[in-house]
Amino acid sequence: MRKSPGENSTAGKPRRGRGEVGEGRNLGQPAERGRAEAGIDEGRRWLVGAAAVSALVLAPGVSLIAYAEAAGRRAAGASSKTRWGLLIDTTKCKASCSVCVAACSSYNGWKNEGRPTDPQWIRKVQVSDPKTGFSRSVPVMCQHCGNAPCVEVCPTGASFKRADGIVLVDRHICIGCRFCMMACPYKARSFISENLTNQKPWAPRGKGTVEGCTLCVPRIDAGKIPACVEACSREGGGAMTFGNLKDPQSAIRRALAEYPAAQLRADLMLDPGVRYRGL
Amino acid sequence: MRDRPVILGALALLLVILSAPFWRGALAQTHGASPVIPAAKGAHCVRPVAWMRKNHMKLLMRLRYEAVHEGIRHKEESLPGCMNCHVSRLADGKYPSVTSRKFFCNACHDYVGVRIDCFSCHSNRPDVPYQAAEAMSRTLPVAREGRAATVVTARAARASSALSQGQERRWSSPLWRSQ
Repeated sequence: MRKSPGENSTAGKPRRGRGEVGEGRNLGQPAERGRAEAGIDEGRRWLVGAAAVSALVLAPGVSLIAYAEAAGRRAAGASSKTRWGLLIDTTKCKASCSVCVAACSSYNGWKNEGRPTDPQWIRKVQVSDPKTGFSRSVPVMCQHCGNAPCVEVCPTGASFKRADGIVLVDRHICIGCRFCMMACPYKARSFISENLTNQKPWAPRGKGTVEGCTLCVPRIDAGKIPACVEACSREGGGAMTFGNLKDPQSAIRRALAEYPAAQLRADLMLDPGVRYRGL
Repeated sequence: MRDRPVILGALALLLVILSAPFWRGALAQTHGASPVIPAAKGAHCVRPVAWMRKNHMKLLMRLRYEAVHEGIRHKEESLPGCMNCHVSRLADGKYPSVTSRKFFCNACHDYVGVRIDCFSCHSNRPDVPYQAAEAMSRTLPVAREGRAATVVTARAARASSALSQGQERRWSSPLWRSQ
């Protein structure tokens, strides 16, 4: 999360210690210097001492100037004071429109060409009640459940929930077992079975791992809204609202307080972060 | 004693043979077989170069954990940040291939026989188009809400105190815990 300038000053000071400690431990090597000095006769000791002092004074000083700037820009990260959620107004979502899917695909660099194994971070689903003929087209993606079954079943801890409620796959430790795909009642995850090239720098993805909607986590960490929500408000029906479910003043909470909104498969009691109005 | 020249000659020959790898390396340096490290664009690295040569993998491991699990992302201190500075177009206008020695990471990794699989998932190019797109896109006011300064400082203090004790961060993932 990008911080306001006020937060910068509070986070910068303690964090700056990291660089200094790292340099001191690995470059200064006071313990080794001590051992080396032990074998040197008294007459020349001052030379070594002077060299050590000048190294201690000069080297960290130079690097401090160079790295202080970088250390001051530490970001805050995900906080449990936030729970990110989506509200989808299905009355505004047209069956013919799929800009959310296109925006997700182009931002995250995945392509669905209709093959059964193709990725589907987000897809348009036509839901209908055969008894009444009531029908709606809704976007379905990872519901970022409070009690996520994919996290429960993951044998390596790769499937996890961030402090701010975003359910992700750490693909560094994903072994591609696909238990999470079996566990997810929303079919929100897909498996990459082929080698990929030209991935987006902000959306790494590769063969042998499971992937799904990340709620555009690099954008959220940069203080922006997910690509699908932005595209829907700009080119679509403005059906998607993104916000903090824990903040009673947020637009999403005010809308949820005013109108009834359904959870998909509410009977499973997964506490999804995505709600649907008008279903 | 008549054998002395023979013995000395044999010893000299042995010495030459034994030191052949050294001479080969020393001679090869003038012929470009040692790693040719592509120049970076920035003024300085995010850490001192000598430290990075030894410890870049540790830094990358920590940054990767912070970015994926804690959402702490840095522009410069990140793999895309490394790519932004260390990867440039070649003379033909293309970016170097991941398998080529002209690719920054490969210049040394190839030389020392270390194989990395970072780039089977991660992009090996600068993310210049992304920065341009992000600059144009809308900012989110709610994203800044609910992030009290106390949370920031507590997290930062915890991180700096753990490091000042000379420890690397212990990861909270089960895989890391088992090690």
